[in-house]
This record gives sequence, C-alpha cells and structure tokens, in this order.
Amino acid sequence: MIRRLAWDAVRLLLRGRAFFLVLGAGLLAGLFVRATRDTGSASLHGAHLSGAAVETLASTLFLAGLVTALVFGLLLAAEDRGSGFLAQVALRPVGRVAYAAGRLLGLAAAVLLGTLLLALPATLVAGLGRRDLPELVERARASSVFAGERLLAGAEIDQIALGRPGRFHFPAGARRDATLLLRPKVALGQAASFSGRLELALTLETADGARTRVTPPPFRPLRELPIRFDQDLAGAPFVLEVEPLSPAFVLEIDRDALTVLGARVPFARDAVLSFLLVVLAGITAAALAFFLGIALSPGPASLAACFVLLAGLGREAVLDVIAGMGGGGAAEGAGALLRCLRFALGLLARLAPDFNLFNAAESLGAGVALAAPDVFLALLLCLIAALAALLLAAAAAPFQEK
Amino acid sequence: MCRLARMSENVALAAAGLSRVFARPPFGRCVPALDGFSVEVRPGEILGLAGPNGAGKTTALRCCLGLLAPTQGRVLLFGALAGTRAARGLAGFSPERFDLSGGRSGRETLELLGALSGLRGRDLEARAGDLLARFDLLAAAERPLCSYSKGMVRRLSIAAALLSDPPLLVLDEPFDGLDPLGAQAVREEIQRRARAGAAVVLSSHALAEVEAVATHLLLLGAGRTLVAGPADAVLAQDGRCELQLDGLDAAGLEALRRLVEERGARLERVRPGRGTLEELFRRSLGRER
Repeated sequence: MIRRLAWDAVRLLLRGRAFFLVLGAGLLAGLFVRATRDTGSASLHGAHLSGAAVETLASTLFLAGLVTALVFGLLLAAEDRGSGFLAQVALRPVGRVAYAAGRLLGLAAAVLLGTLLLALPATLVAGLGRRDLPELVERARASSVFAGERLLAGAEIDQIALGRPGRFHFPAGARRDATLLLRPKVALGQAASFSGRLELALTLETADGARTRVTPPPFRPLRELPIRFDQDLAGAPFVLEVEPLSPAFVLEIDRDALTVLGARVPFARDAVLSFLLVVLAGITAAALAFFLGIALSPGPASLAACFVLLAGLGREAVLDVIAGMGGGGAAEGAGALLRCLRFALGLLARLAPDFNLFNAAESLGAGVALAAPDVFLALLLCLIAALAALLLAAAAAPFQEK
Repeated sequence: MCRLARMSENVALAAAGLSRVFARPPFGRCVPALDGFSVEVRPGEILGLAGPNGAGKTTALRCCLGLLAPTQGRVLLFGALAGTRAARGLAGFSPERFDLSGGRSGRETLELLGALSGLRGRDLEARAGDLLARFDLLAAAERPLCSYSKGMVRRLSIAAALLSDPPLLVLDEPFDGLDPLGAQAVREEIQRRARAGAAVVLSSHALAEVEAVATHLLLLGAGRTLVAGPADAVLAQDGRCELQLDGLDAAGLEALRRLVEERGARLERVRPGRGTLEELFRRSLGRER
C-alpha cells in the first residue's frame, strides 16, 4: 500500500510535461553556470579560480533543487486535496501514517530523480569535465603576518596603508600556480574620498629571494580577490607582500585576510557528496512543503514556503551586513548598543535555515564534510525535520473535514 | 453499547439527528446545510435521495460517510462510527465530482484505488479489467483521464466505488452526464448490487432514474426531511391508476368511458400511444455498442 502510494506520487510528479520542465530547468542552470562561473574571479591570467565553477554549479543546483522540491511538495498536496483523492483514501482501509509515509517516500524518490534530471544536463551544459578540470582545494593560512614592521599576534587586527605594506609568511607546501584570496576591509572614517574601488600591489617573494610583483585591476573591498601566480613554487616557503596603492584609506588585516590554496583534493567525492546534500535538503523541503500543503489550503502553504525560501536565501545577506558592521563600523567606543544589535541580528539570521551548505567549501574540499560540525548539524536537522514532517502530515491529513 | 449501535448492527447506514452548519469566514453568519437528518438503510435496500439544489443532499452523503464532521448527531455504518478506522472499507463512494486525473489512465486509477482497498496482484488486475469491461471503458483503459468525456469519468467513478464489493454503496449524482445506455448500465449495476445484499444510497436530480431503481425515497428541502419512506408508499395516490391499452378502437374507448362514468369515476386523459425518445435511442444506438 505504501509502495503504491509512493510510486503513484513519483509518476504524478515526474511524468509528461513535468519531466521536460525539470529537464529544461537543468539546462538553464547549466547555462547559468557556464555564463557566470568566472564572474567574481579577477584572475590575472584568464584562468578561473580553481573550484569556483564547482561551487557555482553546486550552489545553483542547490537552489534549483530546492525550488523543485518545494514545488513537488506543494503540488502533491494540492493534487491530493483538490482532486478528492484524500477522500477516496479516507474511505479505504489506509492508515494516516501509511498515507503520509507513502506520499513522503514518493516525494523523496521524485526529488532524487528530479535532482538527477537537473544535475546531469546542468553539469554537461556547464562545460565541467571537458577543459580546466575543476578541483577543490584546501586553504592555508599564513604562519606569521607583519603590518609594516610589527608582528601580529594571534587574532590581532592591524591596519596597513600606502607606505606600510603587510607581509604574509607562508610555510612550505604551497602548490604550484597558487591562487591568492584577499579579503580587504576599508576602515570607515578614513576613506573620505573613497571611490568604491581599491588598488593594491602584491609581491611574491620566494625562498631564493626572487620577487614577482603584480598589480591586479581595481576591485571592491569586502570581496574575495583571486590572484594567480604562474610559477612553480616547488613546495618551498614564500612571502606575500600586500601594499595599498590608494592613498585615501587603509586596509585592516589579520591572519585570515590573505590565504593561499593548498593541496588538491579529488573532485568526484565532493561532487557525490554535494549531490547527496542537495537531495537530502530537497527531501526535507519537499516533506515540509507537503505537510504545509496538506494542513493548509495550497495558497497559504505556497506563501509560507516562499517565506521560508526567502528567509534562507536572505540569511547570507544579513550575515554579510552584520560582518560589515563588525569589520568597518566597530570602531573603538562603538559601545554596547552596536554589540547588542549585532548579537540580536546574528541570532535572528542564524535562526533562518542555512540552505547554502556550500559556503563551507573548504571542509567539503577536504573531504571531511560529514565531520564538519555545521554540516553534520544541518544533516541532523534535515533528518529531524523530515521525520517531523511525516508525523505532522499524518496528523494533519484532513481525512474528515471539520 | 448504546441503543443506536445495537440497532445498527443489522443496519448498513444509521444516521440520527444529523445537523451541519457551515460558517462563512471570517465573520459571516452560519448557514445550516442539514437539520435533524435521520435515516436508516438496510442491506438490499436502495435509498433514493432527491431535492432541489442546496437542499443538503451532498452534505448528508458526506456526513454519512464520515468525510464531513456533523455539527450534531452521529452516523453508524454497520455499527461502526463513521469516520473511524473501524468504518473504513465498508462503503464505496462515487462523488459528484471525480477529478482524480493527475495524468493517470483509467486502468491506473482503478488499480491504485483497488490497491488502497486491499486488493493485490492478479485479483487486482482481474477486478479492474472486469469493471472496465462492465462499464464499457476497456477501449479507453490506457488513455489518461483528462481525455475522458464527462460520462466516461462518471462511469469510472462508479467502477472505482465498486472495486472492493463494499456492503454499502453511496453514489452522488450517478446519472449526471450519462447517455441512456450508460444510465441503464448504472441502473442495472445498482439493482444487481442490491440483489447481492448491498445497501445503496443514491442522490440525483434525475428523478425518473431515481424512481426507477429506488426501493425507498427521501425528499430533502432546505436541509430538512420533507418526505421519507418506501417508494411504493411515498408515491402511492389513492383512487388513481394508469392503464395502457392496445387495439382499442373509438367505439371501444367510448364504451370504456361510459363504464368509468357509471362507476362515478372520470377518465382524465386519453392520448394515442407512442414510444419514448429513450426507447428510440436504445433501438437506434444500442446495436452499435
């Protein structure tokens, strides 16, 4: 009985036009990744940031998979309620839990197949796997950082400006064609004539004393700047010097302001893991949407689902704002009010569901995603939410109208 | 065990004092759809429910099946409270609107609902095939429901209600959209089910069809029962009878008139005999089916 209900749900959701719609969405996602995968990677030599395409694809699939799953959940609930199927079930010897379990199992299978339908064309169209085989890498922090002549201790933050460069010492083990990531923050109050773009120079100093200087195009602060040195570092230690070239402002630096990419990690495992995460998150979203659709009429349920989705997507933006407040505005004497505001906003933002697990790409790349606390917590929450949706849907299924 | 429950063990459907009020959200006044509805249907009986639009027929049927909670009163199906687990599977229901499409074909729909009724494997396939054939849907069995005509959907809906041979059959507007041959097939099926010992409740605006099959009648108006009882008793009219004569010429008819008037009665209407459109339809199209 449960198997019949599940199989019927899969057929209902993935046959006919729905099949081609999902397939088309996958193609569009692939085109989107193909068009945008280099955006935001100001590479000096035209090569995109290693791993960026994978992250873009994973994030795009995540969003597309999530929307598809929500639609699946709401669609199935609307179909069951609106067509009178629920009344037919209620008259037959089918328990509420059996009904909910059958439908949710079907939803899970449909989400899995739907995500595959999205992922296959998206991956092919995105052009991954043909040239510039993407990879994920670990990031390495500097072993010691100097602001001018001053050595920063621990998590200390200091400022660098024109004539006062920062020096980042990296230990041995850096890979060839290292890519650099810089997260500069403008100290507010000292950028009166700031045009919105920042210029700086980076100098690579290798163990044999050779120096290579590059000047990337002007860029916006609070954004990662990947820079590629086309040199074989042969695993030797090296120093990176960052020198602001714009006279009107300073840069705040700490040990994490500049990182290099470390060892390569296999791509296949990350791809599979990313796919499974997308599927699991989709199943959870579909189950919750189904519960909402069964408990409420389709209109209010759709609104609620859209709100949850927007809250999840907006979370990162809120966290960015909070981070910006901390980086730029938390000047000395900012007071308890700002700290309270940050705390309250941070709490609110973290209460919203974190759909973008791929922000933790470092831990994914290291192949230890399941061991990462936030990913593990997200998986646990997914399982709890799916189980809760099952029980709630069973309880809420209107076998009898009140 | 209460008196109603004891009494209802041999009664297929026993409803007592059913009332249902619909509230118009958010602050509108309450609309009573059913008021003190009571009925008993025993195995082998066919209850025909009639009444104008908005009389509460569909509400009464849904309350009786446990699909709609009554505001007052309660319903027992073979002694089990309607809407509870014990009452599930006792009734087959063909609703007024059967929108169960979802891209399924006729056969898939029957097999799904049959599986939910507890049928398995070959029994399920055989039962679905038999019903499709009986309701003349075999040729369209693999087509999606959205391509079915109104009459075909109606026939499939009734077939779905019959899947598990339920001891109680509830049909809401079973003749709606059916051509005379389809209506005849449904009438015969209803009578067959009743002869086999099932109780049948049907609601329809097709009064002639209801009259043709119902053993008991119940007329609803504004949620209240206006008339109820065995069909013969409800429809009986003292002193009136209907004659159908063949081969009577004008003189014979005049003699009959005089005889009637001598007995103090009156011959109200005489008209030459003719067939019905339904008979013509059956004669003309019946052979093609």
